[in-house]
Amino acid sequence: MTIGLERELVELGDGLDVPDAPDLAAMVTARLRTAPAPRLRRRRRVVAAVVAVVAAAVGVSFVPAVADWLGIRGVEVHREAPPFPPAGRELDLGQAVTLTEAREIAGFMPRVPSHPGRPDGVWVDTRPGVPVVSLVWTDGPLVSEFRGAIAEETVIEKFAGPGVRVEPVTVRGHPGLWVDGAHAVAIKVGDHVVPDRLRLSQSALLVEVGDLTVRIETAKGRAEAVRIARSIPGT
Amino acid sequence: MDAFKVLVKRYQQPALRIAYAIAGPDAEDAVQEAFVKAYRALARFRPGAPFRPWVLRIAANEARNRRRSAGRHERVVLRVAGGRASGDAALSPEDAVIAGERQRVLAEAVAALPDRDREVIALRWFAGLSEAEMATVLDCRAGTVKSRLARALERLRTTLPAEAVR
Repeated sequence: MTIGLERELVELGDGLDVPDAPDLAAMVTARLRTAPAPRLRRRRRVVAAVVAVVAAAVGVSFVPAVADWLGIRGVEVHREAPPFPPAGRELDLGQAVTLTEAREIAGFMPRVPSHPGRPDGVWVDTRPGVPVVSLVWTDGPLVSEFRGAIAEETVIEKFAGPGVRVEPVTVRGHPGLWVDGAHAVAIKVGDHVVPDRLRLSQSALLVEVGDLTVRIETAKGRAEAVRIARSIPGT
Repeated sequence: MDAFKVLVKRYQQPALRIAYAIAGPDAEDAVQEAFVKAYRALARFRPGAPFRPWVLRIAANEARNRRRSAGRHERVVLRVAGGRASGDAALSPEDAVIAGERQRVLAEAVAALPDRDREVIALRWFAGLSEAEMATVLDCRAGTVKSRLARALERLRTTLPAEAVR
């Protein structure tokens, strides 16, 4: 009777509605990346321990080979302790991540504009209801992307507050809105709309690129925002 | 960091099963926190020691702490996923329904057990740990593991309806 019950418990374990958590590894590493870096000596011990444990876990005893295979020699140690914190720490943009981690968490590959160069920080925020990926440059701009269409003009006006100007624009045929004098913009989450405050300036360019809405905030004005939008792959 | 991802992916499934049995819906948060703590504690990990019970011990502790700090005295609910009622593919549709029902009854009985009993059942049969590994996770002797398992099984058997015990 006990054997039968034990077998049923094993089957129950297989059948439990345990969370799938497909993004768990990405969430964990993202959290570790935003946490204060440990001191160098301890960091070396941690990296060595990870290599040793992975080697044991995958059944390989030749640790340097595993380190090469996993790409954690040199380059990875450097990534453990970036010389500078990612830009945008003060903007409350969620978790600092790599582009790959942003893709894993958000479920889409962020479109990185080629102007004004490589971003200095990548963040992902799951609080608004849809994952929002933000690309930050130290001296601006801030480019935020999420899956969904731009909210209707009237809705944008309602959320932006009094005195806002909203003008339809197109960027290489892609529909968009230029919002000027706003403190917040609306994000469509399915049938709902949630407000999201602007971080860098009181104006933003919203453009639909494929199934993404891209929001560009820059203190340098509309022409610069359009230039950035034009450099986004797919526009 | 990518190397640690390998470890998270390798051990997240048993960790989630254990945490789910202990803390219910807080399982994912508990396991995420557990892996973060495990990474920070890696410098203290003894090279050559078995990693699985070490990391699962952290996950179990975290799940236990969450259940305790949330002040939850009510029962944990263990849900059975639909369409996975039985591992026996040869069952007829009628038998599959009966097997599914029996699994739900068993899940309710396990959920109703005291936390200590539910934890050893999760470690042994949901996550597949050996008794030696369980001794590491529970920080006790192998003999204690044996007696705790026997007690938990006995209590489970007495709470199950007679027709559900095979």
